[in-house]
Amino acid sequence: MLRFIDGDRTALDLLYLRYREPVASYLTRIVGRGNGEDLSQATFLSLVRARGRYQRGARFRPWLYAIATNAARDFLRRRRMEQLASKREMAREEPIGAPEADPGMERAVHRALEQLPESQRLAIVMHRFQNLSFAEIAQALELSESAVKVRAHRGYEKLRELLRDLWEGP
Amino acid sequence: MTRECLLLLENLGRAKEPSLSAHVAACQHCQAVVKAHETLARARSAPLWQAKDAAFAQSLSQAAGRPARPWWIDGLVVAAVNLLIVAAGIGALQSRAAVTNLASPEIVWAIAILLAAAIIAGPMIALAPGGRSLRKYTLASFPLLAVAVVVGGSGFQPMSWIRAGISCLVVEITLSVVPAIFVVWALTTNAFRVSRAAIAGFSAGAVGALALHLHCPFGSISHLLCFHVLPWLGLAAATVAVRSRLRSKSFAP
Repeated sequence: MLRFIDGDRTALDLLYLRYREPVASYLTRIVGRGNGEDLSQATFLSLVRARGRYQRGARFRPWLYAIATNAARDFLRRRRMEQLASKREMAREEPIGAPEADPGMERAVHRALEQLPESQRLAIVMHRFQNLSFAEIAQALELSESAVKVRAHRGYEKLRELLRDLWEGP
Repeated sequence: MTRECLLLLENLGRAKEPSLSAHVAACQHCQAVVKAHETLARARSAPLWQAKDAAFAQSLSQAAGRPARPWWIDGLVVAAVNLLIVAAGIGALQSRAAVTNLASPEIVWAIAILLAAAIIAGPMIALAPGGRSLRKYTLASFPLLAVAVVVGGSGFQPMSWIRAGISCLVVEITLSVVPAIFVVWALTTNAFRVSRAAIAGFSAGAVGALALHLHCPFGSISHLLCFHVLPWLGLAAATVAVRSRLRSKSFAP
């Protein structure tokens, strides 16, 4: 990131190539497939436009995920405000993932994640799917590390209830 | 939730110390966490993103071609606009003397300095990246400043409460609207945060509040509360509401 800030345009390409998939994957889990792709583009545009806000010495990955999280929150806030999407529409959204994977499992996880409060969902998606450490998540969400851990713990507990059928089913 | 419960989170998906395994075996909450974590692993990964399309590549390239502007430049611009307007306002309102507040000079200047600090520091704090704790303390200090304005009044009652009040209200709004517009514009360069917008709104409202504080001779609590402080708080609330509806140019924290 510092190389890009200092004028090396190829560094932006490297950042983009390295992080576009994790960021798109993260956003897809938060806002759904089509919107996730749009928001990941918005995330990289934000990164470029706001590079003057990047603090030298700060870790890049939490900063990038903070941008992505803000983009997702903005999207969800606007959607709530405009009442564009009802819960039924959310449930009808296409499952996300590669065709060879198990769509039933993915859909169940997606629905379960959607039922979590936003703060718990963000912590779990960053931790479980993006492999961010709790310190990085805390930085991205501007929270203390212990607050993030409490949210993740409660979120996992709720998920266990929501996904109970997956391992106790027929 | 115990320390071991939080420790488990650090060790999900890894081999655990015997003591931690023993804790998990005894703790229903942690068993639920482990089970959910394992279940999520069975969910397939999210899709790979498609190759970037040409339009996006062009947008990214154009954005990268523009020079990066450090955040504090916007902060300084807004603070400078605030100072210019407050100076112009005080100059325009001045009749016989620069200060016509009838309270004791020590109190008048102490509150004026605090208001001036809010005018200058407010935009910088609202626009600075990070600084969550600082924003929290700043936000908490604004109501105290408003209380200081009310209790620091001279107690002098206007002859016509409504007429005097309306003229103060007009001055407050007139002087604070432009700073509010400027700071809202600056705030769109980063992600919307209520705390940022509220601090920015309070600092914009402090422009009118400072000019009134120095100029207005009336110092009764009801006058100060209704026509100096309430419009100030209203402007801060309006700033938050307007900012929340505007699109962000960037989602950077």
